[in-house]
Amino acid sequence: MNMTTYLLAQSATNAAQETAEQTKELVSKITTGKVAQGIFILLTAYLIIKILDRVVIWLSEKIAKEWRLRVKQFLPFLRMLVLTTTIVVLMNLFLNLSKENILAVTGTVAVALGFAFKDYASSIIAGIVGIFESPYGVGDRVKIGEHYGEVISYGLRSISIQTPDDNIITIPHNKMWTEAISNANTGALEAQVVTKFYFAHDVDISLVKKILYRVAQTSKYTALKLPIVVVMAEKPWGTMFKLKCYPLDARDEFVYQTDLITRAKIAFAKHQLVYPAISAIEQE
Amino acid sequence: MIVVIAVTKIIVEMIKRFRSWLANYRHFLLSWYTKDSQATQEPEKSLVELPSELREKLVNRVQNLPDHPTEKEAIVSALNENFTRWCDNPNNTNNSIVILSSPVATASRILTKTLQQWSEEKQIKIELLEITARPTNIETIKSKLEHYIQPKALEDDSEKEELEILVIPNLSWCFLRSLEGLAGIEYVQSLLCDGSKNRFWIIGAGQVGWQYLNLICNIEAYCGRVLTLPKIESEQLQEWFEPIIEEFDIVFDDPSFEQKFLDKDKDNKTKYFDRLAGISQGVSIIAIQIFLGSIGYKKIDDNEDKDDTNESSQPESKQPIAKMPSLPGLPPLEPDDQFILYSLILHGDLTISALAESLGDEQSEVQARVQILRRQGVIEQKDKVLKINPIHYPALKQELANNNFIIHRE
Repeated sequence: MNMTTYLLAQSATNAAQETAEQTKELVSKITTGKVAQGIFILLTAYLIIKILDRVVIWLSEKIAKEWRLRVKQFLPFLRMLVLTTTIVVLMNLFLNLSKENILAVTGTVAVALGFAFKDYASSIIAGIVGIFESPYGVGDRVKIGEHYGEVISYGLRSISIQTPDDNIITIPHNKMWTEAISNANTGALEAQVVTKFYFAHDVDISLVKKILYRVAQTSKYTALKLPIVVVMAEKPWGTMFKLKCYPLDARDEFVYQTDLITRAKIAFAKHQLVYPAISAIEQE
Repeated sequence: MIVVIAVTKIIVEMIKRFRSWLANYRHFLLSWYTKDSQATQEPEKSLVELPSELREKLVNRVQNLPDHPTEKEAIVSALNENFTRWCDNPNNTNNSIVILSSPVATASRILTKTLQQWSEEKQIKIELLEITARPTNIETIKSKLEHYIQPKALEDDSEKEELEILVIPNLSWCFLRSLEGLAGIEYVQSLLCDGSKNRFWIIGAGQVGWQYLNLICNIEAYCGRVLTLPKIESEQLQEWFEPIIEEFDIVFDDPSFEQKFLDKDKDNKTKYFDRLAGISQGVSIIAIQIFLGSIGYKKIDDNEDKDDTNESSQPESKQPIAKMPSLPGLPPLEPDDQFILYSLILHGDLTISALAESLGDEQSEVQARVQILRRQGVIEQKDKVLKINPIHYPALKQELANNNFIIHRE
């Protein structure tokens, strides 16, 4: 029993010594030239990513609208490709990638990341998962938590969304694990716009519905190949109508809604349709 | 040996797939090209080279060409067939025929002329709707239609009434894409299926306007037959232009290298008309514009003069020559321009106030963009009516289709 314990302790000491030797050997091989090469590779990768970002975004805005999102959503793949290549080249440069080295380095990196950069690693992993699961892509209009806007970039750790007020918000990918993500267009050029209208209970329902359908059908922004629907809901203070339709380009969402409301209100005024009393709403 | 055959088969299959991919994605590739072209060409640029007298004569002669017989024949043949069918069994599922034309073609003129001849031949009286333009006040469209087209008696009393053939030369004049502008179409729809056995309808419309009406009020369901005017083929175009070619003694320039290589067996004239039919999409008005744009005098270099004998060079310099036809590049368009141009294509022609109403914008805003587009040659104005310049229609159609507008692609 004592002998077995002694042998196990001896072999553990040997293994530790061996790893220490290997690490010493690896560190001793890192020369100033290699460090310079590494910096050069990092800079090149950074430049390539920046150029790719600009070229892909520029190209997607120049070509036909129907191709815009497809081109934009290719960007995360390109970025991932460049990053993976850079990491492999750097590891090969510094760590002499043999089977044993890969195992040793992967284990060390995993433990280090697990403790020190838990959230960062989680975001990166979520970003990689996101490329394949596609809960959002560049050009999509998404709502994550409180924030709504167009995804304008898909980074390694986070996405940037541009809100209707022209603010840029950065949201880490790991929100994907916990938050509900609402995507309005999922890669399509059109996204549904829901416009609400409120009337008194005794309003002429068929007239309101006809006006709302006509308003959508005659708007220059409407994508007529997609359905136009009017739905109603009853409230204590009146009747709510929801006009659901799609603009030709999701980017026109707010200007489209304004156009619908403007023209609908002109028609409502012409037909003297009665809105709900404000006091009733306030009481509620 | 088997391996070689297999590899060859794979390569052939790959080439086939590549060709089909290229065919499918050419819109994408071309859209990139068309966006990039900056220069705007004037449709009749090359005619400047001709003496003004000759130029005027040529333009007059081309513009006074009779309507192309292919279009007339198609209308008459469809009319005969459908009218006979209706006469044999009059009911409201076959009581109408719709003739669709390109939005830049003046279908109402062709239709009116053809129907006059047809009614004389058949000894049938036709009633032409007396609306010759879209009413200035859009709200009066319905009342005007009610005035000119009254409901017929129902089936039981119909035997007492006289047979009527009602012609709406241009359905576009009966609607505007606005809240009030569709009442006229609703009225026509109600009459199309009112149960009368004594009225046969002949309706002319633009393809894009028809597509729009179909999407919003399913108008095709109310009509018996819909005929789209056929495309004019290369040989038919050649025959049509032949009197002008002979009169002005026009010769045809050498085509580009790749066309020479692709169609070795064809002469320059055949290659010219093949290309003209292709790029004009078989629409006569577009073909006319492109034809005019391609005629000029050949420039002779001094060196060439010295090399050639006087006998051969002098007559050539005085002779009109037709260069290989081409479409002018479309100027870069803003999103607002696309909405304006689509609205014009949808309605065929519009006054500035009607255009603003169809866009839901202020007239002053629209006017500014229209002025720019007129300067670029994309829009034409005759009196107060705005239209698309036909020569830009093929490229514009492609551009709008690429940008998600409802417009039929070639």
